[in-house]
Amino acid sequence: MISRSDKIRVLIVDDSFFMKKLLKELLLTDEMIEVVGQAKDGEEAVVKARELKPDVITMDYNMPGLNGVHAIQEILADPNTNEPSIIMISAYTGEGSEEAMEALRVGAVDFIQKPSGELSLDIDKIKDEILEKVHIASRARVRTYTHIKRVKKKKKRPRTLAVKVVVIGSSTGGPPIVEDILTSLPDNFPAAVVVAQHMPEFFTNKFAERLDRLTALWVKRAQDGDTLKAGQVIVAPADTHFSLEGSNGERTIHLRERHETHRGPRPNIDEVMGEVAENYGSEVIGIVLTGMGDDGRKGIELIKRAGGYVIAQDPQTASIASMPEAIIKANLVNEILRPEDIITCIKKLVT
Amino acid sequence: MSNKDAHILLVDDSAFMRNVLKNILEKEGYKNVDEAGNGKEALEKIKAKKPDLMLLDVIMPEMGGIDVIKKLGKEHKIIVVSAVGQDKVVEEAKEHGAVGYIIKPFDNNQVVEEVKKILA
Repeated sequence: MISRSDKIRVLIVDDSFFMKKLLKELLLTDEMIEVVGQAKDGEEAVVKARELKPDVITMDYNMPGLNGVHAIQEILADPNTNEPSIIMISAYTGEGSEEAMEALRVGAVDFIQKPSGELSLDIDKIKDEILEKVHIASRARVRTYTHIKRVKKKKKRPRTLAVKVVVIGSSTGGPPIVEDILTSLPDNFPAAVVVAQHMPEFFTNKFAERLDRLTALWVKRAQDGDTLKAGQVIVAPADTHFSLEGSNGERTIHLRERHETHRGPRPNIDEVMGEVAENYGSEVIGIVLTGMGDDGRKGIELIKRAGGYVIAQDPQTASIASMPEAIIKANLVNEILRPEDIITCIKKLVT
Repeated sequence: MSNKDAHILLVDDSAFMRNVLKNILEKEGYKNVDEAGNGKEALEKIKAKKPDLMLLDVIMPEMGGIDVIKKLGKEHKIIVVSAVGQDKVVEEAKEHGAVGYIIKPFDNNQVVEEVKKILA
């Protein structure tokens, strides 16, 4: 990718004049960011992506004409762009969450949820999040994923206590891969799956609901008191502390308020993996997918030390390579695999 | 002659993987499956009792699989367990005396076939 300057060149796409102005002012508080243009709808976004060749595009979903998801598809199919990283700006609603997830499948690198209210005066509250995501997006590799059909199937509630646990740590660019892995597993999958995907708290519920619709497995956002069962997927919460307690093969999830001031990404992958390692010993497969930073490295170390099996997503297939690279560099992995091979590997190892 | 009494040593740093292999072999009727978590431990176990066959992970901390093979020369029957794309390592293992290999991810019967072939 060749940039015309060292700055991150951003194109803002939104049908609201006010929103565009707010976003522009906010982005310009960061001296590493340059706003190279604005577009009022999807069609204009496609043209400007070609003409201005931005590094990053912020894309509203609800616009007249071409909506955000279709605009993303057209831009990423256009060979005359600079392969921009696109951040979806979606509403803070269930519907908005679904749109954001679809946007990730068609190639958006990340999403930001707009605070409620059409005239988002609250946008200052998420200023740091927006700036950070623009920076991360500017370093991301664009990936697209095929659409998943939902499974219309009556599910059996899992009853058998889990003996083995597959724990997945994932961040930027990860949700479509988590979806692909889980949709490939059968309803009689004989292990529990715990997913720690960096995302806002509100979204963890929506993500779990979506996974439950798309997969053959029984998926739920962790609730205090849930027991880990074979064939069940637990999505870790972002804002509460996750721990496992119990004995004799039965492990119950305990969620507690956070006290510490640590400001890392949530949910904390290290914490979730550490709990699983401590409680399930060597009967654990730990997987680290795409993402920025090194959350998961400490948790994977505990899994490895307990005798568990460790898989890193092949960094070359990751939107952001640093999380899997961190555990590879630390010599903690048993295998480095592409997402499709991760699926094969899990299916063969857990029988 | 029944080979189900053969002494098989599994060498892998992941207990998870050792359990997977052990289950496959025990289901097939092999009764004497022993384990070692790294190269050093393997060498100690071998000193105490020579196995009829070893299944050896090539990538391990402490002492890697290739070092184990180099040290044991050709006096032991060793099947190398490696991941896809480690062809170089497999070649090196064969040069130093490995008699078979299993590539991950494997099906249960691939493991059983390879073990049967070597023990026959």
